[in-house]
Amino acid sequence: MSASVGDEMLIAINTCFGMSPTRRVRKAQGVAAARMVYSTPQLPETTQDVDWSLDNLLRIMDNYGVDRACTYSLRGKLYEFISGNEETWSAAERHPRLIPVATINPQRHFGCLEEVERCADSGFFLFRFFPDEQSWDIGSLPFLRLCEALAEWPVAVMLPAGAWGQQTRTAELLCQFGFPVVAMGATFTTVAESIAVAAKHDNFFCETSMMHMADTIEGFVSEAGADSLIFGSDSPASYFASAYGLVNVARISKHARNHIMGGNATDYLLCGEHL
Amino acid sequence: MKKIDVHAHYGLWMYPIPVANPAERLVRLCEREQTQYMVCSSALALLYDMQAGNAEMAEAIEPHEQLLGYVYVNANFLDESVDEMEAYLPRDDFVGVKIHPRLSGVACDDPRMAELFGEVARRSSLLLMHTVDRYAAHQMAEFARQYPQLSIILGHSGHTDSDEAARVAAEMPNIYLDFCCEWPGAGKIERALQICGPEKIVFGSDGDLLDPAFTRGMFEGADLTPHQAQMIFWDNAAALLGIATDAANSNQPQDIQ
Repeated sequence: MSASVGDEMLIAINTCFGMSPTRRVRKAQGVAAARMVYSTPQLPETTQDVDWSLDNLLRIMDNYGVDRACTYSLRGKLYEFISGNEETWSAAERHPRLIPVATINPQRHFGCLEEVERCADSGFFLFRFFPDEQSWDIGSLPFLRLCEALAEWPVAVMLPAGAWGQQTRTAELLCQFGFPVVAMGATFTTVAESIAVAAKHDNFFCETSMMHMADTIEGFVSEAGADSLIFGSDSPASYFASAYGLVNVARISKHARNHIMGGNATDYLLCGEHL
Repeated sequence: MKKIDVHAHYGLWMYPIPVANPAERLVRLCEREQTQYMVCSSALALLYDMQAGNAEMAEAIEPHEQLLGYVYVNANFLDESVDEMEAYLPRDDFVGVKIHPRLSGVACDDPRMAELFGEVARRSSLLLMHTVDRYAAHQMAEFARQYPQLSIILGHSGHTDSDEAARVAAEMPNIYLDFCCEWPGAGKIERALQICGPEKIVFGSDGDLLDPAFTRGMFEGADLTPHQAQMIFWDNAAALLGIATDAANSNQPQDIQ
């Protein structure tokens, strides 16, 4: 299947590469915790192996005609962000189809503000944060100081949509800084909030990979406009074609689809760079 | 590619799905996805009122030949569940039974579930069981051994425990897998094909709670052979539902879409 979108670029903003000690997706572990039997039989652990390699990400891009992928090294999220960001930058240098995404964990304090400056100065346009997985709060002063520093640069910030209420809070805390804010992974219980927040804040955007209910993409477009949606695939953890199919089948104009599939990322997140 | 979708729902959800006539939406999704038959259970029955939900769905699907039904039953209401099966299973457009342990609050290893299974097995040859972990999958294996004439589809295939669900399906001749899931974890279909083979996998979309294109995408990503696709999207479900697999319904090798 080719995912070409005609004369527009196809850009997947939600990708990563590297490795994971658990071999499986953290969020999936949480979902699987909902047990459906009372007893707890002693059964061997099962795994959902994921091929996190950079080669696999590039293969997915080839298979589906993805022009650009915004990506980060899992090293930066799971282990150490400076070497992770360096690894991300190196990968993007070797593969110009990759748009590097930096990450910083404010819990370390030391070196965080310097890393904002180093990354932004070297050409990172995107910064992604993982408060839910790293157990810190977006209202905390260390993170807001990072945001103050980020606001000095032409960058965009990506954060998890999180639980109900988190997108509202994210927008209230961060949209004032002026940079684009992208909520990643809104789903069943939180897309309603995505629609409301995106309709209110011009610099608040939503990534599409988990908006998997029927007709939800077109509902979002009719309520908040196509300019607020940005395609993401959650590759390589998830099947690319699932996320792609959601946007591809939505009953929206070709113009709107092109904007979601790549135009909005180009216009609002990347300022024409890396393209 | 023509499909039979064994896992869908009729009704409304408290999620941002634009409000519309549920049956019309399902029929539209069927036409878009080349789904010849879509087997639904009632969202109203799952979430609130079993009897009202089954009745509402029965009336709604009756005019649409694409839409078939599962009777929803609830182990908290054994006598009423028996009545529901007696009322609807004789109809041509009801093809089996649906159980949802979590939404009914009755776990798979609860004695009440065992009682319900006995009643289901006496009346139906097909059960769609919401199954989102390996423990439930193994409990289903116990029921499958007890009732070999009952075919059990493990709805959602154990979610992230799908490899273990596939091992259960490989072991039990009357257990099948459907992979609709809000988490489209890359690789799980390919692994299941290796573990239990395409003959134990059916296509269920979870529409319209999930867009069928989302679930279809998992199979597109699995790069099925034409033979595997034929079995998964049509033949296996046709056998379970008693639908003829004649030349007119046979799919030619082509894109899954």
